[in-house]
Amino acid sequence: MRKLFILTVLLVLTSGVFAQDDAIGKFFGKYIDDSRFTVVSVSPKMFRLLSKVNWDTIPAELRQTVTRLQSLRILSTETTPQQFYKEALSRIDMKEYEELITIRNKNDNVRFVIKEAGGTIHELLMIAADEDGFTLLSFTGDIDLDKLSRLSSSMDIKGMEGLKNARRKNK
Amino acid sequence: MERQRIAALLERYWQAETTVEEERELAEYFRGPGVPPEWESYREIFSFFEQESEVQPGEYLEERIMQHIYPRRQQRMAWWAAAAVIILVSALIYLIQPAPKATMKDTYDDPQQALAAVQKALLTVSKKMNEGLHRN
Repeated sequence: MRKLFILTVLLVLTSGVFAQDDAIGKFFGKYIDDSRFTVVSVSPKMFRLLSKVNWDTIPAELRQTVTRLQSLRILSTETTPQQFYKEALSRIDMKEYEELITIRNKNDNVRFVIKEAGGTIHELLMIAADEDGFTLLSFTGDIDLDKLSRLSSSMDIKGMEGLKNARRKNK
Repeated sequence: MERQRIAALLERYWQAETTVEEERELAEYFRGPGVPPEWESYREIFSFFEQESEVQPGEYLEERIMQHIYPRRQQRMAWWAAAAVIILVSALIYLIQPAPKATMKDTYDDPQQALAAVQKALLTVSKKMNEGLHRN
């Protein structure tokens, strides 16, 4: 009887470990078949295949960043962005993440959170909502924030708008 | 004479007419010395009976006998227990099974398109990040 009990406990524990999907998995799973949402997902397998494409037109900096990534998932919608933003924040277990950047505005909310272990950032999660829509975006892999932040300036992206009320929140 | 008495007792013994006391007397006689050679074989018989009477039933004799009579019972219990464990375990596995990871179904089959999406996503993230960082 005691053996049975121990076995059961072990089973529950191990399956708990297996069940541990990334925190956004649940949120993702809920809306993946929802027609209001646009889903983009690039699996680790596809990331490995990326090495076969023609990289000639891709800037070196971007290339370095991409090759160290493992997966990408984006969930976006144009319907009721602020509502989904709130839902995402409440559903995603923020204890698993470390807060990086928070921009809070009346109609422009962005939150960057990361999962870090041993000095390496393994996941970068962006939750954003503005007039255009709601976006939940997750990169996994080995993420270099410095390189990532420099990408947009090197790629000639305008868009320094909406900065007035942005603020950085320290953990 | 003792020998004649013993002969008479033996005669009655074989007829199963002796009393308990008489049988004890016989046993005593054959244990002692002075048994004539022609009765040597009787001595062996009586000492054998005496030895055998010392033998005690082993431990759990009754249980062992019952085990022989109904050997299936405990085995069947074991099978039921094993079946119960298997059912319980598979039920647990089934219940706790994580939701299928439909989320990691690739959106693109073409790596080139996937790369474009990744590139776009990276730029979006980078842009948003700068919005936050440059504020300070």
